[in-house]
Order: sequence, then C-alpha cells, then structure tokens
Amino acid sequence: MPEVFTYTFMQRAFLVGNMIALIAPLIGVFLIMKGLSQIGHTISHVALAGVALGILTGIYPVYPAILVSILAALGIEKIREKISDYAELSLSIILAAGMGIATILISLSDNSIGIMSYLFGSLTLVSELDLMIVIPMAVIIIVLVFLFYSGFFYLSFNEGDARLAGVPVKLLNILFMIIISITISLSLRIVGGLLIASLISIPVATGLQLARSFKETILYSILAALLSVNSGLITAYYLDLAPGGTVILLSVFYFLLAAIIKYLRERKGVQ
Amino acid sequence: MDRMAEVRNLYFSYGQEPVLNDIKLSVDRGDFIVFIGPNGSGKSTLLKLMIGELKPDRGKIQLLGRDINKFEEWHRIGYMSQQIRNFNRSFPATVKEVVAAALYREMGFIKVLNKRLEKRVDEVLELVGMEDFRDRQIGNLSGGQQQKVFIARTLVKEPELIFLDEPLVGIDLSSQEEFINLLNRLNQDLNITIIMVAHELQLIREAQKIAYFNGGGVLLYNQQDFAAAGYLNKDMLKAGRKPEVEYSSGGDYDA
Repeated sequence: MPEVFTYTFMQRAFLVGNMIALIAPLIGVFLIMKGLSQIGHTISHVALAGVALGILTGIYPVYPAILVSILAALGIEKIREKISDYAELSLSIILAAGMGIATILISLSDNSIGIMSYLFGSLTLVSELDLMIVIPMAVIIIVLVFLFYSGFFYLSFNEGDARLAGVPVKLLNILFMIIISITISLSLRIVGGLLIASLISIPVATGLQLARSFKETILYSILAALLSVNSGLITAYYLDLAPGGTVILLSVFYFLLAAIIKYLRERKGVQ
Repeated sequence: MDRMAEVRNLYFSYGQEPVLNDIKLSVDRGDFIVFIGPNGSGKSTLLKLMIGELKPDRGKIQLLGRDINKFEEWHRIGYMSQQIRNFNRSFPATVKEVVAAALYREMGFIKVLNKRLEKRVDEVLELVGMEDFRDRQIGNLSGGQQQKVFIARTLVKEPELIFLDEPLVGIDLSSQEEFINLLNRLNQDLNITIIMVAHELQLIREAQKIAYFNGGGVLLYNQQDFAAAGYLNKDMLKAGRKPEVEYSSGGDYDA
C-alpha cells in the first residue's frame, strides 16, 4: 500500500474528502443553475465566523459553523424573496459582516493554528469526531437531494413555473439553504473556508463542459470533484502543500482539460 | 355550464399607476379566449393575477370554483409565461427532463420519474410532434421547438385550463401555423379551456371569444360579433382602437 494511505489521519482525510466531493458538487449543480453561486461564497465566510466562535468558546467548531451559516442562509433566502433587486448587494453585506466578525473573534483567540486549519483546510487535523459528523450528514444530504430531485431541478430551471407544477417552492428553498449551509460547514476541514465555494462551483463548470443532460451534469461534476479531492490530497501529502489550494488548483486543471475536450468535440461536430 | 374561472370587480395598480379597473370576466369549460389590446393595457397583468402570481388591490378571482387564495389544485392549471423562453440557454437539461419536471406532484414519495410517468412524457411529446427531440438539450433547439416543448410541459399535467402569454412571439411563420393547429386540437378534441394574450391576427381568428383591453377595462366579444364589426384588421389592431361593437352575447362584462 502506498505510504499516503497507511496513516490513520490520511485515511480519515480521504474519507471526509470523498464525502465532501460527493455533496459539494451535488448541491453546486442546483446552486449554480439557479444563478446563486455568490451565496456559496457568502455562507462560507459567515461559517468562518461560526468556527472562530467555536474555537473561542471551546465548542467543536463545526457545530457553531453549521448553526451560524444556517441562520445566515435563511436570512439570505428571506432577502432574496423580498427584495430581489438588491439581493447581490445584501449578499456582499452579509459576507463582509461574517468576515468582520470572524476576524475579530480570531484576534481574540490565541489558537491561530486551529483557525488556519479552517481557513485553508488541513489533513492532519481531521479528527474522529469530524468523521462521525461528516459521514452521516453527507448521507442525509444525498438522500434528501434524491428524494426531492425533481423539485430542486424545477426550482433551478424556473422557480415561478415550479410553483404551478405543485412544487413546494418555499419549503424546498429553505431546505436547500440548510443543505448548502451544512455542506459548506462540513467542508471547511478539507478545503478551508476560503476555497469551499470553489469546490462547489469548479467541478460543476467541468461537468457542464461534458454533459448532455442535467443528470449527466451531476454525475460528471461529482466525478470531477472526486478526482480533484483524491489527486489533490495525494499531491498535497507528498509535496507538503496546503490541501485546500492543491485540490482547487487541480480542479481548475481538470476544468481546463474538460473545456479542451468540449472544444475538440465541437470541432469534430460530435454533439 | 361548468365555470372554469371568474373575475369579479378586480382592481390592480403598479404603484400609483392603475392598470385594471373593476374587471369582470367569466370563463366556461371549453372556452378559447384571446386577450387583445394595446401594450400596457393589462392583458398579461390579468393573466398573472389569474394564476396567483400577482395579488389584486381589490376584487375576487375564482379558479375552478374556488377562491384563488384558497386554491391548491395548481396541477389542473397550465401557464406559459411571456418570459418562458428567457431561460438560461446553457442550462444542461434535456427536453425529457424539462417536461418531466412538471409531473412533480405525481411522482410519489421519491421525486423521480417512474415508467408510467415516463410514458406520459413520451405521449405528450408525440402530441406536440417533439418525440424525436426528447434527449436533445433544450437550449440547442429553435424558438418554435422550444415553444412546443414548453406547451408539452404545460400539457403533461393534463390541465383543464391553460393560460398562454403571447405564445407566438419569436416563432417563425410555419411553426406558428403548427402551433395554432395544436391549440385548436387541444381545445376542440381534448376540451381544454384556453385563455391567452396574443397580437397575431391568425390566432385571434381562431378564438371563440375576444377580450378587448382598453383604458383599464375589458370588453368581451364573440368571434362573430368581433368579425362582423370589421375589427379583424391589422391596422386597427396595431392602432389599439376600440372595437365599434359594444355588446357581447358571450359573457357578462364590461369595464
């Protein structure tokens, strides 16, 4: 067995990383097709404030991250519903407020290593507790998306028409926001708060280059994320690089590769 | 006769700008009504009010005998908005996926397509002549083909009443003719009640009743009265002039 797989902490990192690689693009496809990718950025910054709060108070940081980001996400959903004209501006304000609070809380804490691990991701710090949280949560998210698949699809395609088809728009939007918040909070460990929004969007961009249907988009996006996380973690381990940055750079590389494949395919006239 | 929709003493304004004043309109099963009138006369607004997308300032709307605020049987209603084709062209969905989504309510506990519903999707695509395009991405189709897919999506729920907002805009002439034939079949063969906003003469000629919007009010005419008044004339339509006839035997309205 290659050395990288022999360490318990790496085994945990791979397990958590692969779960994240399943759920981040799964949610990402719906988020991006709804035109809400900015929400991913905003929630990830707010989640960092939750992490800082957890470290400062000695609570396991993923819990306050989930709580704070769900509250922010529900606030965002309310804003999106009521004042859609200024939704982008509201997101920027919430993002700034989240980052501001995170910065202040970080400055009050003396555990800067802990904070750094959530900002940029960390392999060695993935704990048993992380596993216990990430695996069941990821399974729940996958089941929920599967259960409401057509509803989420229709919401992404056209929210107004979805209502007429009997889709419980409000309920599913709230559920979706909660799922995004949980996904982002769980992902902080592996890619870090600053890069999670990229793990949600870049594999989806890759999937979009190759897919011929919505289902294929989900499938290819997940494959791209799995490839990015696994090759990223291995590269980061051997070259002693930050895992978050390595995973994201590799996902950009796979995106470019997919874009080239699409270009060649179109030139050949195969569609 | 079976009453499909009823609008009573309806008022609506966009901010300070009144758009609809004291509107009354009754729609019976099997009706094919076209809303016409100058731009900004409130045709699309009334359609949006009738599907609950907008809330009236005053007045009542009933759908299938129920107050719109308490109405829940949206699966019996179909709606194609004017913006329907303004969707994201790079959205990666296939024709089948787009049509199937409308069957959400019938999907059971797990919201994915089963064999029975898949068959219904195939049947409705056949009805609109798009069965060979089921696995094609919707963004890659022509305007006329997309419109047929959207009418298929509206029809797959087997609605009894459909609202169409300018369905022929941006569609080439040959597709327009096919589309009009399709609407006639839906209305006459399947007894689907159709209410639509349109500017095209050929569509107005097909309707049984014509609701003319002008200055906040609505006048309803039978096709015969409307034609007899010599109103089926492009220039008059463009000018947005009010028809000469003031009486309609088809309904109970005026503004």
